[in-house]
Amino acid sequence: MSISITFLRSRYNMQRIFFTVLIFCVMVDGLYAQIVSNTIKGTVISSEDQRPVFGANVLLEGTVLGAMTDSRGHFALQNIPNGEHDLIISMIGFKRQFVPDVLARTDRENLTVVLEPAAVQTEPVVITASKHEQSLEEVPLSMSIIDNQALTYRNTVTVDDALKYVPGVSITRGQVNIRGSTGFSYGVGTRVLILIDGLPFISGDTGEIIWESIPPDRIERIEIVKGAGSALYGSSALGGVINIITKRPSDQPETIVRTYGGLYQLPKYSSWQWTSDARTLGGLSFTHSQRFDQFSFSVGGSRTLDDGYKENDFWKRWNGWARIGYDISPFQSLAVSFSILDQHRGNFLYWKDLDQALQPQDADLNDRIQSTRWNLGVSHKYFFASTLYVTTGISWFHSHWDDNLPTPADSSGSSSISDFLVGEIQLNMNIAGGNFLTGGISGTLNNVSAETIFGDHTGHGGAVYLQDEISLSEELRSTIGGRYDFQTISGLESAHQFNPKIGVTYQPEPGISFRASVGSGFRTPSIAEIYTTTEAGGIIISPNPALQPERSWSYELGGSSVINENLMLDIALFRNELWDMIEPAFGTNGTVQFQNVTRASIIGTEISATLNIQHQWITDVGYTYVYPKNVETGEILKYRPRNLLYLSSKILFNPFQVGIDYRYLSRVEEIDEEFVQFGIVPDGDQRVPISVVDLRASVNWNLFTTQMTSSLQVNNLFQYYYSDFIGNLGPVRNFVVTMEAKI
Amino acid sequence: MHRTGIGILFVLVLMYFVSCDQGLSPVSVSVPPSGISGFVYFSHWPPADSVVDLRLAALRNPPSSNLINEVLQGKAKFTSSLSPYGADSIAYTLILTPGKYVYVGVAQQFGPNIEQDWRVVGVYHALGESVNPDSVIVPADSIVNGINVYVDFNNIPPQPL
Repeated sequence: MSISITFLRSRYNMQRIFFTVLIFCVMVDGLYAQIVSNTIKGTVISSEDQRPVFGANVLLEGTVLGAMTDSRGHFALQNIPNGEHDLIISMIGFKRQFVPDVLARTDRENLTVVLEPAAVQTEPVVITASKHEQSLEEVPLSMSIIDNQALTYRNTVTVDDALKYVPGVSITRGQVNIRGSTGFSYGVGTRVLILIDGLPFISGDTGEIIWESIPPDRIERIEIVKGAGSALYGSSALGGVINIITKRPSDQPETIVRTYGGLYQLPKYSSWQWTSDARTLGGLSFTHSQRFDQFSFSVGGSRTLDDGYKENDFWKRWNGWARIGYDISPFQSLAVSFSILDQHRGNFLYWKDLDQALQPQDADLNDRIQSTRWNLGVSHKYFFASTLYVTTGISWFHSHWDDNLPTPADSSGSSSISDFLVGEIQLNMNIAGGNFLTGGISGTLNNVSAETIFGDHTGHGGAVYLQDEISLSEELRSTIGGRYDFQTISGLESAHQFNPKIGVTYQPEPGISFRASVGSGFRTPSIAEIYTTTEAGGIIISPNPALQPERSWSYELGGSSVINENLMLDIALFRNELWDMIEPAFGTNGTVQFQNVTRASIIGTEISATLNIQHQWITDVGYTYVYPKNVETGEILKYRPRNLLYLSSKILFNPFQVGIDYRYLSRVEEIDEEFVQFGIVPDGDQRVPISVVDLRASVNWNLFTTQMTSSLQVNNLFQYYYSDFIGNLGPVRNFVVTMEAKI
Repeated sequence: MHRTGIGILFVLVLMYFVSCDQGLSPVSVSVPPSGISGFVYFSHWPPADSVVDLRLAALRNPPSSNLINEVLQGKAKFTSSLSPYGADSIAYTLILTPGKYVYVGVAQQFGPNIEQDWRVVGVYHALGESVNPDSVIVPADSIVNGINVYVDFNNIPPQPL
């Protein structure tokens, strides 16, 4: 009861802070308006076909003012100070355009900006590295971007599917590993922080990423920062940050309906053919978005089903989402978003043995998990001046799951209800003299009620951060900043951490950029890592209240260069030093406990290239070598492949598109051998490199006025069998047909 | 466009070769075999009608009258029928479970009675040994090569039973 009261009181406090800020903003609204009311309006078109460019970023140099073009290519920058200004317009697939000396006017006058297509894109605008929009060339860290087209192209059902093709990233049963940062920790804790529109999105109890709660249809793009990001984002950003940017409605009503259906092929070995029934997958989704002057909304839903190629590995999902935006005035906007997931699924823990690799152990055959999760987000943006804006955001992630997996404490299964709230006020200011300041405060509140498995716990935290980007010259730019965090969980000692960072970028000439950065990271253990008491798959997991945060220092040197108009190269050298790494440790009696056991060092290199031949044949290739070592024992860290190679190549011949994706991950050298030694997973040590080819083809066509896209995918084309985790065979060959209608 | 097509075809073929080893397979398929292999050398062939069948056998225990039971229990294994009549030699491979085999020999069925008309016509001897049969140790996951047996139909070894 006391926990509930504390929780409600803290929630009330956060709401009070939010509304106080909101009221303050409304009161001062108009003050800035009296000073400036100029506007720059225009249209962005492509030089290739003179058609409008949708989604281009238009920035007023030297300010924080910016806008995005709508589906007609229109943009409007408001509240511009008197005088002439320089504009920077950028868009993926086009060369960045610099428009000098644009006169801000009170009367209407349209400017036309013509963008030239670029064979290779060097300067996309990103937001995650510094919490504001900036060119990728100005970022002192390695970053990758997945745009919405790539999600559609690969028929991404859950976001982690798309991340499998990002250089330096691998996924083990939903846990993200960026450049060797993460092995496998049984679904609890993450060393890569996931954000939705800049706010953390991890479950309060297990501290994991719930990928299925993020419908791909909501996503505009995904930004992946490689390396410690705790200096801006705090706990969990130890190995990197993944920021999911959701779509904004355009001024034209848009409805998208998408359906897909597919089939898993029977494996070629008869002993793996556990059923003669067809194993199918499929789904139907829709989104609609519309804008009415100051008001905009988008709404969507999906139903997806997957029989699974393994026995008892099925799932059935309902997803729903909505976003309402309201431009309160030219200086401030408010947005409220909501998403919900309802999922029923089986649970395939480990195979029986390699001869029956697609069948679970008999005791797990009837395992079921039911979950309901929803997320409510509110954000408010206020422009105090052309060089200053403040963003306020609140996110509430509610998670409730039940399973029927018997434990020593409760033979009927376990259940957990968690609420994770985060609130943040952020200031961005462009100071004369070439400084861009980003600072803010944030608070978190976490309430977990899971009597039999984690117990009932409340945690809270707070942070303050500040970063300055300094233009030392036209070519040289530095970033310096730090963040102080404190976090506490009821009954335990508070954890405090200051994480500094410093970075430099140098652009000697257009198309060439060098970068260097040093930063620290930390992660406080999740409630599940501290308090889990259960038995799963023959393993007894015991709590460890003495668990301490893990810490890291991350170093990177890199450079990118446009070799010619068809080829771009990027090379990075990186090193991560980690202390008190939290790993599950086996006791002599077969019990497992999360412990601070590892002092680790990870060094490596990453080379990626994009080759674009006449906009018709586009190839991306990325190779990452990682040497993840336990400093104390000299052993390779568990569940980390040393070599990762990705190749994606596609041919465009309008209206057709054909492409392939290839993934190679070298054989994981170290695993928890205890699984095999204790007889928990027969043949659990059987593993090979991962070498998978996917093939895709699509065609665009029109049905009356509806734009249609039909596609066929063959995943795991050559039917290569591999284990993606101990006792788990990766997806077998499957065929998927997709149809999308855009109205 | 033509070059582009060739390029992607090349990449696809390359992908095939890097992915075509199929990865994991069931244990029964993937475990490397164990056993013995070598040659059987022949001299002084008898008349063809007296060579009804010819097989090489490996036995865990010394030959006994319970040979059938030994076979049923997997303690004795035979090659399929060797059909080399008139040949100087024939190569063989016999898949065996790992362990010690005390008797490796070649048996000839010389008459129509499949249960009784058998005799041993050659036994494996290690180098330097010419009388007593030698045992062979078969390790896991490998084939022991060079287990050669010399058959002189005019000079057959002592019969074990």
